[in-house]
Amino acid sequence: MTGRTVHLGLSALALAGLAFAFSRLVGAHVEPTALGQLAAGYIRLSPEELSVPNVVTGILLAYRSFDTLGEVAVLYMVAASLGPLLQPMDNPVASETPRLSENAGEIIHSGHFALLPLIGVFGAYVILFGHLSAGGGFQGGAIIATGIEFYMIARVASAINVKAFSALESGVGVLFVAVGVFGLVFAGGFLDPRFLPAGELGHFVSGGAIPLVSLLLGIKVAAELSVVLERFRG
Amino acid sequence: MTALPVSTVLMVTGFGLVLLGYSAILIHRNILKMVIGFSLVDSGIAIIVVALGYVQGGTAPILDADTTAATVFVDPINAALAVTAIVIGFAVTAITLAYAIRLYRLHGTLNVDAFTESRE
Amino acid sequence: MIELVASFLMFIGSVFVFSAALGLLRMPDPISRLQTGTKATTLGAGLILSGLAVLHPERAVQYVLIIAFVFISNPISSHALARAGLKTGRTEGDVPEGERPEERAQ
Repeated sequence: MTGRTVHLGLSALALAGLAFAFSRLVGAHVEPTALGQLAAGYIRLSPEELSVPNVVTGILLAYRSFDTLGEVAVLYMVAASLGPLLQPMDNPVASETPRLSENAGEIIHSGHFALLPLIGVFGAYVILFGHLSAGGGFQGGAIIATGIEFYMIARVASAINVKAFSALESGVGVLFVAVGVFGLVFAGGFLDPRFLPAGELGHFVSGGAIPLVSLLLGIKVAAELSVVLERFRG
Repeated sequence: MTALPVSTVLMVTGFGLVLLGYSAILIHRNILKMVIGFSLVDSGIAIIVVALGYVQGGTAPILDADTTAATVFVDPINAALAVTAIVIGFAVTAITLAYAIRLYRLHGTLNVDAFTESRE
Repeated sequence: MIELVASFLMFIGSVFVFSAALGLLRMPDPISRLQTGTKATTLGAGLILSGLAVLHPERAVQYVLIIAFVFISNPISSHALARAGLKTGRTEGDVPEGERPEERAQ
């Protein structure tokens, strides 16, 4: 077929052009030896102003927390739009893959007893210690959601209550915005975490409202991802 | 022999993943493989964004007991942007997979040729 | 000497992971792909992590924990995939439509 050959030739040409452009980009990049002003400012201010040692969390949950709110909104839109997209259709050509039997099998069933506590503890740790070491709400929420997905695989018959999860997620979202308004009223601006006492740098209770925001974000992300996974389960 | 700079290694990896993803999108006829291609592009771009923020001899931007005044940190903004990119990548993957399932139900196949032929 | 041992372990681990990737491409049907993909990556990841543990003995406990986690979770996940394939009858050399060699040749 000539059409296929032309398609492959044009694709190869486009890819070669991209590869050339990329190689020029890599060649032109010089590794910097010092940070830019903005980054240096964040690294200086995050421990001073917010009393948060993890600067990335400081940026995500304080300086650019409005971005984070937008990202959570994107996740919410995905979870909401998957409902109508994956609804059963009137006259499908291909029937669905049959659901597996009730029993997931001995190995998976025993495995989920061994691994789920580990996954849960790790996710909770990543959420709660996000302001002190590597981690945060998004990452921990994703870990918790993998645990929930594992639960769905291990217990085929179990039904995740999508409505309850959506309600939890909406409630947490309202609390998130409420924290933001608290920041607007009692501190410098929307989602400013400094309306709670800053605490001592490096202690568990520190960083103003950042651990609280991190916890809310973790619950919200975990609930949203669980709804997405449950929708795909059909 | 001098070692390659860390950011160059990372950027070559990232751009390689992006190229691999685009080639999967362009060459394969199966929608699932195209979705994998999009996912590869996302991962590659996240790696490039982090690589651009690398500072020579830098460590993670987390202050702890080992931190001194001389400690060099990598750019924290790029790490924050990478988190954003990963979340958007997840959203793209979820939506494209949902459309793939819908198309499979409508046409009984995942081959894109079946969708273009019906238009002619 | 320690660095040499660690590098050797990590190199052998990388060889195993590479052979797993090669197996994913070359194996004819889903079950044998799962087989290469799981066994070789489990061993490869274990070797790479033990190489890292040799390099950083102060964090050896954490690496041993990660190895234990990989050794439990990797076989379970591949078992779940293989079981799903078995139950839905997709264990034969079921290459997706549009990817079969005879279609490519056209």
